[in-house]
Amino acid sequence: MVRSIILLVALLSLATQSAIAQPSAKKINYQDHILPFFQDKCVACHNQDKKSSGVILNSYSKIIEGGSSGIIVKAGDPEGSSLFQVVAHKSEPVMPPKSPKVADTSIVMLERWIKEGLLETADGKALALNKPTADIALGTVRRGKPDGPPPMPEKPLPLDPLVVTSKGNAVIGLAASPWAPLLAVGGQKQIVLYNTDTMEYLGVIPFPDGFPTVLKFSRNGGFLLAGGGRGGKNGSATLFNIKTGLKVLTVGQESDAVLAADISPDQTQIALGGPSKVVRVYSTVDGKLLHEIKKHTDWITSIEYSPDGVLFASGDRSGNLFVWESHNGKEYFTLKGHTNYINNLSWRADGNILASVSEDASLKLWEVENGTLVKSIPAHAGGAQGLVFHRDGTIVTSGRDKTSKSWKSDGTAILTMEPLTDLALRVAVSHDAVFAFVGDWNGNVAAYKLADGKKVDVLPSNPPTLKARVELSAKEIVLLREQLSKTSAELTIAKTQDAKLQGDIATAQKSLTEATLAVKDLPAKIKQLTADQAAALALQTKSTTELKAGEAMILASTDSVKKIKDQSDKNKLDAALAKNATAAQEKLDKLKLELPALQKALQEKTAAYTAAVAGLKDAQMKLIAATPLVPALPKQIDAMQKAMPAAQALVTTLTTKVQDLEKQIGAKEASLQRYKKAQPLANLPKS
Amino acid sequence: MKNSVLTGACALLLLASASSIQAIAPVSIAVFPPDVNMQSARGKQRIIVQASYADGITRDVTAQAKVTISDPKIAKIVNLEVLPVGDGKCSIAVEFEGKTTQVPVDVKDAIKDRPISFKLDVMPIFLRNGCNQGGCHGAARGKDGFRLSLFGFDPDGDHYRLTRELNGRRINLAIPEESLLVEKSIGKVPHTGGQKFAVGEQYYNDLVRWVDAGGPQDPAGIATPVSVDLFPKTALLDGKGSTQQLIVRAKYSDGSERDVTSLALFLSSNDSSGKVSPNGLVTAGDRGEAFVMARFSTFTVGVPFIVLPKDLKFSFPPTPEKNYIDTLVNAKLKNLRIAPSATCSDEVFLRRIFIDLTGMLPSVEEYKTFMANKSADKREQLVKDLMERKEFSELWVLKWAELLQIRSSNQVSYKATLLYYNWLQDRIARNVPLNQWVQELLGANGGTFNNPVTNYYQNETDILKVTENVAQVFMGMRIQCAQCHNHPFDRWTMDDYYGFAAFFTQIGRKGTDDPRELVVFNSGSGEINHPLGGRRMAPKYLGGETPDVVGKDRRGLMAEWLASPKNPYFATNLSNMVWTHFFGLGIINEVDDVRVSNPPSNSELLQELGKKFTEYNYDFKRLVKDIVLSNSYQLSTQTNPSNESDTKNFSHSSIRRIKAETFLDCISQVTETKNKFPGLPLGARAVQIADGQVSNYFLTTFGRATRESVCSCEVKLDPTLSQSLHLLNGDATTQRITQGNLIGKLLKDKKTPEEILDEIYVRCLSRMPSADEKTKVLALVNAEKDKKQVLEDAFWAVLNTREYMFNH
Repeated sequence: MVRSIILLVALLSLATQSAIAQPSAKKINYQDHILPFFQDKCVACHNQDKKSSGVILNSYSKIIEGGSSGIIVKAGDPEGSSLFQVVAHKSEPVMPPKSPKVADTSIVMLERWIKEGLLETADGKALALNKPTADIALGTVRRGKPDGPPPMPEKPLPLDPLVVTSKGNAVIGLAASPWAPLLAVGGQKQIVLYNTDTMEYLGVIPFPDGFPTVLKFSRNGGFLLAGGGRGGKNGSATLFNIKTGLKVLTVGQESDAVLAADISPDQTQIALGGPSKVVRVYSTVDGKLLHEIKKHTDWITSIEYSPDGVLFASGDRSGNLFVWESHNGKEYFTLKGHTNYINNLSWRADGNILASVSEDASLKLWEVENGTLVKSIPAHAGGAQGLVFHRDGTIVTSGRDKTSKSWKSDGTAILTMEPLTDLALRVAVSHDAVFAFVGDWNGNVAAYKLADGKKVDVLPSNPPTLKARVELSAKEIVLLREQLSKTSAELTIAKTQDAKLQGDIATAQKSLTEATLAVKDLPAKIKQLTADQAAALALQTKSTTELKAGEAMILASTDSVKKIKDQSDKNKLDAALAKNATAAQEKLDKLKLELPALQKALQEKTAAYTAAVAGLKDAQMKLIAATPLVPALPKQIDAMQKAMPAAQALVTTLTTKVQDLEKQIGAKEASLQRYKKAQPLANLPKS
Repeated sequence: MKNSVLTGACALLLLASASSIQAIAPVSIAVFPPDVNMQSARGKQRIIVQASYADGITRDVTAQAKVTISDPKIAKIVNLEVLPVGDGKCSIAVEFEGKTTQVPVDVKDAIKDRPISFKLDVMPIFLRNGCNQGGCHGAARGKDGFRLSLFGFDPDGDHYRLTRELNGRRINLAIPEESLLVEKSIGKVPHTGGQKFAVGEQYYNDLVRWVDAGGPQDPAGIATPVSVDLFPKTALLDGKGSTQQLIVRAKYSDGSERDVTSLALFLSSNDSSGKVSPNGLVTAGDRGEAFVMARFSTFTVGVPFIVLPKDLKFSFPPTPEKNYIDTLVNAKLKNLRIAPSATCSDEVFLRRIFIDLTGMLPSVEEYKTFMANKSADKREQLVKDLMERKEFSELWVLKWAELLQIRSSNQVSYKATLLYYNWLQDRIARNVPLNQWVQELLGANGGTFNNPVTNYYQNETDILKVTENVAQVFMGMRIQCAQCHNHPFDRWTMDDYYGFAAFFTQIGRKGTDDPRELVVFNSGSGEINHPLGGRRMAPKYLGGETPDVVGKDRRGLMAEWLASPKNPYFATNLSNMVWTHFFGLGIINEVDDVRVSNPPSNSELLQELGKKFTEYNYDFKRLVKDIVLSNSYQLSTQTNPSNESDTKNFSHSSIRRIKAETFLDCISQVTETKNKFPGLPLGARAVQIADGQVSNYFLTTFGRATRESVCSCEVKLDPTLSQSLHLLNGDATTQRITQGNLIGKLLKDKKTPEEILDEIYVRCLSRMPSADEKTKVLALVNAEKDKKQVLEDAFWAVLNTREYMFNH
């Protein structure tokens, strides 16, 4: 996948190359055809610094001027042009030396260019000076937050990277906007932007000149300066407008990659340097070279303007450190102390202190009033690499010991951040000084919370393709959704449990109340009930006695009735007897009639007694049951009440988590929409 | 006469038939390497087939030979390279013009890839392509800040410099193909060193593969090369334009083997005879010898090549072979198709042997006696006689005094110097076996007066200098290079250097009552650390083992090993030193420049001399006898067409300048004048001067050793203008002729001018003047009244002839 993209890019570049090689009807010109060829093969020696044999091949006018032994090209006459002769191996010394003859197509191209009259550009007009697309110079240098909203890209940037690689390379270009949540990371032929608040990937700015090795934001955060190029071949610095993401100006024609660059606070100058050992200062007004400083004896490795723009400092590979006056390029101070490669320079916001870090392991603080060394701190064993002197006074450094450290502005150590797995090369601090970003040897940028030194995120310098990103986002959303549903389920359970717990507590409290009441009331009731029971028993006994008496009377009556009847029957006509018999019978019947009532009364009394017994027993049982509850229940309630906050917290947490996930999903979906809407690189209009 | 013609014809016939046979069939064929072992999917082994013919000529017949593999499931052959197919063993059958041979093949892990290794795959690329040589990134400051260790002696440092010294520049992990390292190498961006290789080549692929893998460092304990073989072992090419492919194979500490032909750096000692291409193809040029070397890792291995003109007709003349020396010298000459010169005349021999053995010229009487002696073994008799003289041992005391730097200085008193000299003189005069007194010297303890030999450790007190001196004097090794980096043209690594230096770290020195005296003793403590990484080095014999030194005198152990047969360099080096005295040229030249890339001109001869010297129990007199009695020593300086261009195979005697001290003695001898040197009586000979500090104008002009270093170059034998002027106009001749008044004395003895002329010639040149010389000189003498003046002029003229100034 990654390979195929590289292949695609390679094919594209091949296509352009073949276009160069066979410019069908069009005439050969210097800018489009000859200069790239010279840069490939010749300018390592024939540049403005080395000037081998006085010949400079990366400037059209210098070619026309010729070298130390006279003219080297004669329009229309390849045979009379020594430049062509030596390249075509027709005369000594053959060029390039110690290498095989260049491709025949290149020789033919060179020959045609000379024959066709040494055109400088395609339209035959002299190359216009490298003018900026806009006037960016500021009248005054303003300290503090600029007016208006902090500059952020207004239009979406290309999200599809120009170059896609499976791994990143050592991050040596890294900068954070002083006012906006914006981080710029030097990638492969592109600058990768991230949002420092959300750590979100914002897109890339193509850097077609090669590899960006140094990144600097303008002091108002409106512009990003990127210096770089191709090692041993070409170097320049390009200024981009942050809001539009478009190139404003490119300066520098180095024969090797630019390693150090900065834009002045008033945005009128860009200073740059590299292996040429020369600091060159260009005007942003017309792109013209203002000063050339040849004091350095080794590669220029770091440049930074003072906050007021009056001075700028430059450091080199041998540890030489100079401060120059910006307006005339004259030496202001030589700061002696470093013994090795100066990796970074940074000024304190008030411009009185300059900080520097070097491979000699030290962080040095220089006082710029008199040019004296104030403090030298053995910051990072093996070599100090990254350095930022933030506006709020915090210094953040990184180094070969794989760690990053923060310091107070007087050089007192604050903390050491979690170490990385390989060299910690460059640092940047977010506008609000909340995060420190550390670029490492493996090509990643680690984000740290500055307050506690905890690593919070890792931002790659090699973003994936838009397609891969869409797929990845979609996958992430699916994962997040899964997580969300799981968490929601957990939340439901937690809520249920919470409710149950609350219910249980209420029940228990009710029980407690009842038990307390029972314990309080029941003894009296039992007493009452015991009395009631005894009364009922008495009533029952009485009723039983009454029934038995009734029954006995009936029995006795029945006998007497029978006797009377028998008498009567024997004395049939005895009316009295009969009448007696009838009366007795009537009396008996009456008695019989009374019996059920007696029986019923007994039944009632028995039932009443049973009920009384049961009532007493119940009350007694209730008392037995309630008595232990009175001390036990409060404990239970207490335990449950104690469990309440945890349960509630779980609910809260889960609720937050759910909300968070929902938010994340929302953000991811928004990003995904952004990615989906963004056009792949191939479809972008050519700028 | 008739017979000789017949023999000649026969010889021609034989030769003719031999050459026609040669065209038909070789005597034998050989396949290299003798076995093929491959241990990974990346394994490959190029093979070469060499045919040998009856006359010793060899041909590379790889392209013509029929090569078949016995089991195609194990290996296959693509473009003369054996490649692995599957695990197992099989063989390669090779057939060429009726001759056959077989090579066993062993394949392991045929489908397993080997991870890229920085040390084994990447480092050799820098050596092979010249990246880390002294003129480029191997320079102490590198090139434009990018430094590689010289010839790769510090791979870990190189890994750091490539990956992490300048972060984000030299390698690009994201786009390996666009690493500056890669782009510079292939010339994609301008490179002062030029394009070194092209896209798609093995070097390019391996570099990219390494960067793509993340530029990893090797795991600890990765295999290291333990030996390197260069094939074929010898070659005799027939005619300009014939070629021979070389292959290089390295063996590693894990037992694996790899074909490193594409990673080895090839060099030839003589491009005009045998030019070697970067890929190891040797092309024959002009007649001559070339030592073709391959360098890989810390190893340099070489193969001697002889190139002959096409179809050369040659027959070796009958040459006396007096002993093993002649046999071995002649064997080499036969291979080279060089006929040696004839044996020299008695007169020449007499002068040569006198100068070489005694540092004197034969007297007139000695000349007459020798010339009158008619016995067949008169040269043997003379040698025996001369070797018994004290001048013989004085000459060798001088030689050793130079090497032991016997010289007074601010640190070394004259007394100590004299005692030291006397010690040496005693050992040589008594003919103490060399190994014995060398052991005594190197293991010496005690006061510089009581035991003067301890002066050896007073003259030089720097541990590293002592180490270097011992190696240079007694083993012929210049190991100085290895102090800072592995020796670029020899086997010596920094480990060897500091391991050997560890023997000299415990030399204690303390003063005595006499400020001129010093006591040297074994201090029992003191170590040396490796400058890379600071490892403490255990004492290790140079090219030998690591002995147990606990509680022992390290120097004693070292001395015992050094001057013994256990040290392979001792006997051969001293034999070579003796040989050089008599031939003016070492078998290895210079004598103290023994290294792989400076091979002996006749290895068999050197080995035999060393062997004999050991057998003789290091009695150097016996070795001297063997040498001076050989026919090779006694050859004439007159050359023939076949040996006129030979300068190193001893096919004729060489004309040698006489060294300063001997020359002054000879002038004093013939002019009968006396010299006075400080500390010596009037008339003492210059060779007897004990102190290297003592000199005079003559000795300095003629290159007397200052003894400030042990280098064999201390004795300067180059002719200079001031030498000529001094002899022509200085006090060395005219004044001495007058002072000695030889002519005057002879005239007084009533000698005729003719007799005097004879005397002058015999005295100075050990021969009678020729008729022509005599006629011309006598004509002048007769024309002049003052006979003395003319004869003295003639004397002066003879002293200024090259014949006088040189030993021939």
